[in-house]
Amino acid sequence: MTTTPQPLFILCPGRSFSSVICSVIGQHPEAFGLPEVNLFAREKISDLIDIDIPFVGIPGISSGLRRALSELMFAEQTNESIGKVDDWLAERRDWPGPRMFEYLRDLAAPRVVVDKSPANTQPQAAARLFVTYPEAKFLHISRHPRATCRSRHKAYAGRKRWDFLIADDDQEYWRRHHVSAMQPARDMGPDQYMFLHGEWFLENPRPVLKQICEWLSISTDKAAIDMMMKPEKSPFAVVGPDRAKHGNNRGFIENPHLRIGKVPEENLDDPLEWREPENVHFTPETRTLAHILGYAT
Amino acid sequence: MTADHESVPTETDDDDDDAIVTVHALSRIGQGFVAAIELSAEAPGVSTARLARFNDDADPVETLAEHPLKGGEVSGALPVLARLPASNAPLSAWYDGQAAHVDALDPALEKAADALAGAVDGAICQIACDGRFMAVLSADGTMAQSLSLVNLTVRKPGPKPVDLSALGLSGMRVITAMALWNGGLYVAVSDPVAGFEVHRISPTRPGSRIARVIERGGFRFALNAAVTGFCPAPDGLLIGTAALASGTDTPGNWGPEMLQLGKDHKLGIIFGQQRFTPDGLKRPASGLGPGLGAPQNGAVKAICRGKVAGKERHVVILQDYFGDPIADRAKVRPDMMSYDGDARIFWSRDLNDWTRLDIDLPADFGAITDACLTANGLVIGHEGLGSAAMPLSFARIP
Repeated sequence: MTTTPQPLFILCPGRSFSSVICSVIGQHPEAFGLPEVNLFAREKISDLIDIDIPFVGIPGISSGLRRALSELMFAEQTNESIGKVDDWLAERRDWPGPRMFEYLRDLAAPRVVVDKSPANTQPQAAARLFVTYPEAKFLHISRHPRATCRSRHKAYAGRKRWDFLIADDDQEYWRRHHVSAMQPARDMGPDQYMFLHGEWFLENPRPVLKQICEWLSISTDKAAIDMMMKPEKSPFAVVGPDRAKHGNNRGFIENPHLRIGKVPEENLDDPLEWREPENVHFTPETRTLAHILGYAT
Repeated sequence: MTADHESVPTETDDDDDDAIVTVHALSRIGQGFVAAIELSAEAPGVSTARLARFNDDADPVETLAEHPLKGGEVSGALPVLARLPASNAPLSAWYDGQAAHVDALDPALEKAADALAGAVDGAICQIACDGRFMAVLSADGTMAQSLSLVNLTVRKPGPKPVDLSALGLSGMRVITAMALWNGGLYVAVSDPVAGFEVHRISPTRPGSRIARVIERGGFRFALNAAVTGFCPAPDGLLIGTAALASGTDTPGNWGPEMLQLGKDHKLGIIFGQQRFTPDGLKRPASGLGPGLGAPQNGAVKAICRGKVAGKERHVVILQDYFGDPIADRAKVRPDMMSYDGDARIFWSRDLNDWTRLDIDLPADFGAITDACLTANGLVIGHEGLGSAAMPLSFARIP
């Protein structure tokens, strides 16, 4: 009897290379990289579906789940297959998110399911996650705070409906999500939690991928690594059908290739350029956390 | 001593109840061990450095040497001991506020000791010796560090200064540990921002290039801010770490690690955080995480190994940070005496399986400073915070 392998959860603030890294790992023949299914962010499936409405809700929040189900149940993502998924979901509105995640796991078995939903580092979601899967593996990814915050600001600034996100201080957002990702490591066995420096990964991914596979106890052979180097082949690296377009980072979908090379140097000292003309700098707490995550400058 | 553990009564302060006694360094000898002890009074400027021998049960045997310490204001003006693997008699050094003094209890090292004492400027902080070479780390009144190497195999040994400019030493980057091992001098440089580094210096060509063998805290970055001690072992150099001063918050696992540097300079983890590195996936050999299950900021305060009752034993002592939080990592200094909180002691036969040794240290044990194994058990040296007892604790090991 084969047992379903424990899932892998990618933990990080948004805009930390999680989409590309999830797709890369998910391209391994023994893994399945999910889009953003957000199954630990809300209590029930109905909470997720009902909020996926234009203007007053969070449009697209359920797209990832619907696309994942469509891919796993029907091996395609079309308006028709999404329609069937919607009907199927309508009968399971009261399922708790973790139960649906377990269903996805069963569909993907015996592959390792990889989830990168950004909501997983929100306190309530994280609590559900760790209670449901205390034996899971957790990959904590970092990106320099300046690059993360600048990217986030660029994505949301000037978009009126996302003002509530910008109101949340960028570096506080970066810090809070990393702290949330790191805290479980205090209570886990050393094999459960791994930290990955995102810039280091992008500079030379192959040797890192081999180590990730070794950690996940999946094949480290060249053919498998070659497949991982092509995240653009992920079924979720494209815009979905009209009925479920979203479910992944827009920038990644527009350019889903693994861009290998040295990431431009950032620094912790200069004022935060997106806050000009205010003369704002990273706080000592942000700097300390950055040092812990491998950013000396 | 027959009890599993007890503090060692002082034999030194019969007529001076105010004496504060701190054991700074311990070194096993053929029978028993030697302790470098500081005796000071409440009034400044009247402290004494003493070298004393104890037996395998930590009973005092004799005072070997005693010198006045006048310069207590200079950090490092404290007695230190060299560990001499090939000798029964250690080297001890202290600073009287004006000059460094070195006592060689091995007659073969007397010439080197004399030459060294005259040549070192400032307080001797550490000595390493492998029988062929001796390395001496000293600091002047501004805390600037100097390193000298002495070749003991020549007829007239004299210290040769090592150019440390390549190490980029500064207030936060200081040499915290050194060992003569694997034909080289290995020095550890603290860095609370980027993580410690270990460098190898050729003792035969101290002017040649210094090679960095570990960088960025062994890829645990600022959480491995400093090496707290080296312990040469047959399979490699054991390395204890610390994160140094805590920040205003301490997310994640701040527990210290024990690492092992192989002779080929491959880094292994005995216990600590599993991680990806340029040299491959590193898993802790023991399967145990940082701090051996305690995630708070602690330091490896001592690592010792040797035969106890004829059986090979390894001991590691962890102690928690109890100092003030420091928000700016660039202002963190490698002050190991701030790790004076709770202590946890573990022993192992093979570095893989670790068992906690439950012993009650005295209530006022302060910072643990050193430890060594004797034929009969474990000796722990620590600060004495006003206690009349010699701050040495002894425990039997299974």
